[in-house]
Amino acid sequence: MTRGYEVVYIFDSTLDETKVDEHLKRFHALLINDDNPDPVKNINHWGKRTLAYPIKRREIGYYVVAQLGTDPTLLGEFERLVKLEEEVLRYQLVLNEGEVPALVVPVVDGQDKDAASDRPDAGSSPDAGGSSDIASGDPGTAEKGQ
Amino acid sequence: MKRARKSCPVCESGVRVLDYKDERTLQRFTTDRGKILPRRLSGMCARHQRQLSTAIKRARLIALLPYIRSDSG
Repeated sequence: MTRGYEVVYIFDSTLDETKVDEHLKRFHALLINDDNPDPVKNINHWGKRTLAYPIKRREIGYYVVAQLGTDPTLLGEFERLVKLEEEVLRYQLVLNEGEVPALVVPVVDGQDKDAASDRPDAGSSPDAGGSSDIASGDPGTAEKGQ
Repeated sequence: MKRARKSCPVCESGVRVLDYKDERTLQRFTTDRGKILPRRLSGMCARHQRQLSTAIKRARLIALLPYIRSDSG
């Protein structure tokens, strides 16, 4: 069974992007299985950022955010490898089961178009697709990471 | 006379879920020391206050927000 996860890695800022990519490839190779040959949905390199507090005496870190879809049974070995890697200052793995469904009501030729707005909390939620500047989806997630 | 309850600033902006990676938004709901604002000050609804608390704790873990700010900054 595949589940969606989001991992934030903080690498040592002395690494360049190619080295970081090599590490990521090595980590993500552990998540491949027969059912799911491509676990990586999206990788976003934030680049170097100042840390809010020093981690392992580093003031700057290289941030990467990756969205993954993988079998939970493979995560143990994955986390073990990430923890062992000294160039990863810190990582955080959270369950990311996608955005809150925007109450998709099957619309049959214009019927029930307003059904979604009947719920008080449904309404107009443009962020349901994660497009809002305040938020993108991360509902009901359980923390797994360090 | 009872004061009218503030409306939730997150609901007003049309957002359903708070993102732990958006530290600028989260920072608005912390004190100068870096503590999470209580509901009576943040004015949030219960759902968003719960989300805020989780999001700030996650943001702290990945060093986007400090656990505490000292007087010197």
